[in-house]
Parts: sequence; C-alpha cells; structure tokens
Amino acid sequence: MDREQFVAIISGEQKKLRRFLLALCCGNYEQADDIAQDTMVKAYLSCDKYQDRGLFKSWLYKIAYNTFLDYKKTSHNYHSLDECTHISDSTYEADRTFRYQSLYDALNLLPPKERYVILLFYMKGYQVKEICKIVSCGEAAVKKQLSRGREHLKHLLEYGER
Amino acid sequence: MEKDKDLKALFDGFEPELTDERVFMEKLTCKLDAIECVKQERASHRRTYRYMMSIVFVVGVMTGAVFYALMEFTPNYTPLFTYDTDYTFMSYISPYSREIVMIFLSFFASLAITLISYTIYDTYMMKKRDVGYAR
Repeated sequence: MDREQFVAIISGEQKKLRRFLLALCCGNYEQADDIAQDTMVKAYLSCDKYQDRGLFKSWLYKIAYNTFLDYKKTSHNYHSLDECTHISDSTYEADRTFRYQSLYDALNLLPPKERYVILLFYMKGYQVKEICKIVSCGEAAVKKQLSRGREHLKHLLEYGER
Repeated sequence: MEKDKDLKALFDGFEPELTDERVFMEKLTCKLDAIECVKQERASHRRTYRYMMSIVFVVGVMTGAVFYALMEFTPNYTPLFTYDTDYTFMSYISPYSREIVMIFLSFFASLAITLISYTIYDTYMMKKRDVGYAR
C-alpha cells in the first residue's frame, strides 16, 4: 500500500475513528486527536506489512486499542483547561458540546478495556469474534466484559439521569 | 450476543462535533512527510552501506593479491610464526602460517583502507550538508 492509497483510506475513515476515540477518551478532544494521530502514524509505518484482506478497519482499531492502552499507561489523569478552548461562547454551541456529557461521565467510570469492548460492539457494530481479534482476548472474556460493561453503563446512565 | 436497545439507540445517535478536519489532516500530512524523510534517509544509508561493502570486497581482493605477491617474493624457509608446543591443532596449521598471516593482513588492511575512506567521505558530506543548511 503506497502513501496515496493510505491517505485515501484514512481520509474516509478518520472521522469515524476520531468520533470513536472521542467516546473512548470520554470527551477529551485533545487526547482523542493525539491517539488518532499516533494510530494513523503507526498504521502508516506498518502498512507495508499489512496484507489486504479487506480487514483494514479492524486492523486500524486494533492499533488504536494498543495506542490507547499505551497512552493510559503513560498519561496522567488530569484534564487540561485547554480542552475547553474549542467551546464556543454561543449557548447553542455549548449545549451541543455538553450534549454527551452524561455519557462521557458514565464511560469514564468504566475500566478502559471494558469501555473499548462496549464501544466496539455498540458504536462500531463489531461482532464478538471480530472484537476478540481486535483486543486479542478469548470469546468468553469478551462476552463477560460486554455483559458486565453493559450493566455497569446502564446503571451509571440511569443513576446520572436522576 | 443480543444488543441492548437503549444503548444501541444511544450510540446510534452519537455524533459529536469534532475538531477541524483540515487542521487534523494537515498535522497528519506533516507527520507523514517527516516519516518519508526518515525513510529516504534510511534508504540512502542502506545504499551507502551496500556500496561500502562492495568496496570492502574489491579492496580485500586487491590487498590479498598484493600480499600474495609479497609472500611469493619472501624466502620460503623463513617461518612467519613458530611455537614450542605439541598441540595437534598448532602443528596442523604451522605449514600454512604464510597463508594465515596473509589472510589476516589482507582483512585488516582492507578494513582499515575502507574505514579511512568512509570517514573521509562522511566528513566531506557533513561539510557539504552544513554549507547547505547555512544557505
């Protein structure tokens, strides 16, 4: 795969990946964009080794998963005030930005691996077997994470609405 | 595995605003350019390395020929190294002392010639690059 092909695929996929990572990073735009950039750079570096079997997207999400875990290990758990710079003064824009705040708060309370599995299943629509390949886990472990994560998330969302 | 309807509906409608796509892609393009630059530099190093290896081979052959000629002109009865031992291996290699010395000398001479030429070439290229940056 050469650079033009890579950029063509990435241009079509970057929005979905960034949206996915934004949910994964619980609304942290800066972190989500950093992970997205790192993921794409890593993918570009190893795209020579990639064998085209129509699984580019899941391969990309596998890299994103590993990058996210690396990021979690190295980054500190604080939020920069710079994150708020993208928020517009307009009330409408602010409302739109905080529209998913309860979801982000709930996702933030899930363990990172559980969060990733939940998002792959519900947001990306991957099947359990595909998720197993992406996160390199057994089917039983993924199913357990999914059911535990689902209950956990539902409880948190219900609790948050009250 | 069954999907929870509420969660599915929640994530189906998840379409947050993202940061500027143009800025994101520009940043990515810059990184890809940097990677390309490093890749080219590495490829150039590999080419130089291969080139150096062929030079080492040629210089090795030439030095070997020179040492062989020298060996031919030295008197045959002069042993190049001797040792007082009954060890089988030593007594086995003793008749080939000239060849062994020739091989070692050729190897070290070709290595030294190549390293010196490479250092001179590298220093010259560094100077050339420095001049390029200064402009």
